Amino acid sequence: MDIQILLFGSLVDVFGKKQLQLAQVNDTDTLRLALSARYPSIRDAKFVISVDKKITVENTAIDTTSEIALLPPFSGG
Amino acid sequence: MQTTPSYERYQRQLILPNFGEAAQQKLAAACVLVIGAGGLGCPALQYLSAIGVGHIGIVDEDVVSISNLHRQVLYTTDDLGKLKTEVAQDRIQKMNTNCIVLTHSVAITQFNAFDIISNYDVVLDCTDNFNARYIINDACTLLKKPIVFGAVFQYEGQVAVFNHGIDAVHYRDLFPVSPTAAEAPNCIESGVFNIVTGIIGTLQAGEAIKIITGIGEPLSNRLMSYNSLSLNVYTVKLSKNPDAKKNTPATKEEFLQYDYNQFCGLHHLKDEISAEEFDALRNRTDVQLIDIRNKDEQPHVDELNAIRIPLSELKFHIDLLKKEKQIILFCHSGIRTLDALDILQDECQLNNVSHLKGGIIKWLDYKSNKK
Repeated sequence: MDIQILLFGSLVDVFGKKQLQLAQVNDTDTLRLALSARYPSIRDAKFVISVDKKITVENTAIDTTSEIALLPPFSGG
Repeated sequence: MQTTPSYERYQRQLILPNFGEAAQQKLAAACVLVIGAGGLGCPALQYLSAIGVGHIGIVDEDVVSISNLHRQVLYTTDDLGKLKTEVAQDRIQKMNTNCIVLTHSVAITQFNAFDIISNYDVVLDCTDNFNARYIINDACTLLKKPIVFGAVFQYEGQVAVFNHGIDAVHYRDLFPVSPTAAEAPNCIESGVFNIVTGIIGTLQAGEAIKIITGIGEPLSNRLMSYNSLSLNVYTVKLSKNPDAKKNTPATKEEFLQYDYNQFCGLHHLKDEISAEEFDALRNRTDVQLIDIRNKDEQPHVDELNAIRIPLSELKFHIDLLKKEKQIILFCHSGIRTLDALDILQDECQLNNVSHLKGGIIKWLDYKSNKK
């Protein structure tokens, strides 16, 4: 089963879509590695990962039912 | 407060459930600081003044320019070239004469932040760059002042409340590492849908009002993302980040010594050429101008004797750069040239390159103001 990932802000442009599917990974650290491996252009992008609507501050377990979102910082005003 | 004109002015909110005279008096006694009188600051200032906040401070160093008018709704065409703080002060003072409005016509820096912020109860971060956002965050965290954070990107916006409530988090808990300007472009570089700044700025005013009056549940320890195209709202919970603490200045002294330019990737400040300097240098024979915008990018400026080498091709055309001349790079707004400087200085070891601060639009603006 794939995991579904919601994208925000500039990440929509980087990935070219609003939502991503990715083969299942077990935690957020592995997710970051999997994303960088598959999409080298996001290697330097700054974003935080939210799992089930909570911003993760350390490695966090995920499964196929987790709601995952990648949120970049915005600076405009 | 009990006089008839005030009662009539505020009647529609005074009769709201859980609002009433007590909330109105808290607002009248409150001091709210709005940092940045741009797309977010304008609507925030209007609603804070209209609802009866007693003391409002405005921080901004800029003057009104024509590209502001599509979203900075306090200003008119007649205000071009005037200080935003002074125009905004005049407008919101007229909207509500009960409101005392103070102006600080400077950019917020780590050296003035403590003096300015310490006089206020709540701070609205309506700025447009990470440098200012981290400075505001760190000063408010040390001073224990709540921040109502707002930021926009194209059709989307973010709102959060920091330093407020139990186990309060702040901006560094959310983003411990600052992106560089090139990684998270501002409105000049990436564009912005005007109503997004209107909505986010208005929400910021609403959060400040909720904090002051105690009504409702402010977005403390939460980040709300708003998408104007889908009308989706996505709210996530924030928690303390162990990485935040090691980067956050722990004392005022540490704050004053902190290198915000380095932290925010602004190490190219020394390579900046102002619009005025650029104008004086542009026709000299020992100067080479390089336009790193894409081939068809507007505005096209015939009077500049520049070679166009798009940023993506720069690496492959180093031979076109004249090592014996002073090379000045420019792009639309001076953001992409930061990447170009990295390439030319770090990868190609060129030390005769600088870039036009604020880009071609800043120079065009300078020229039209000079006339």
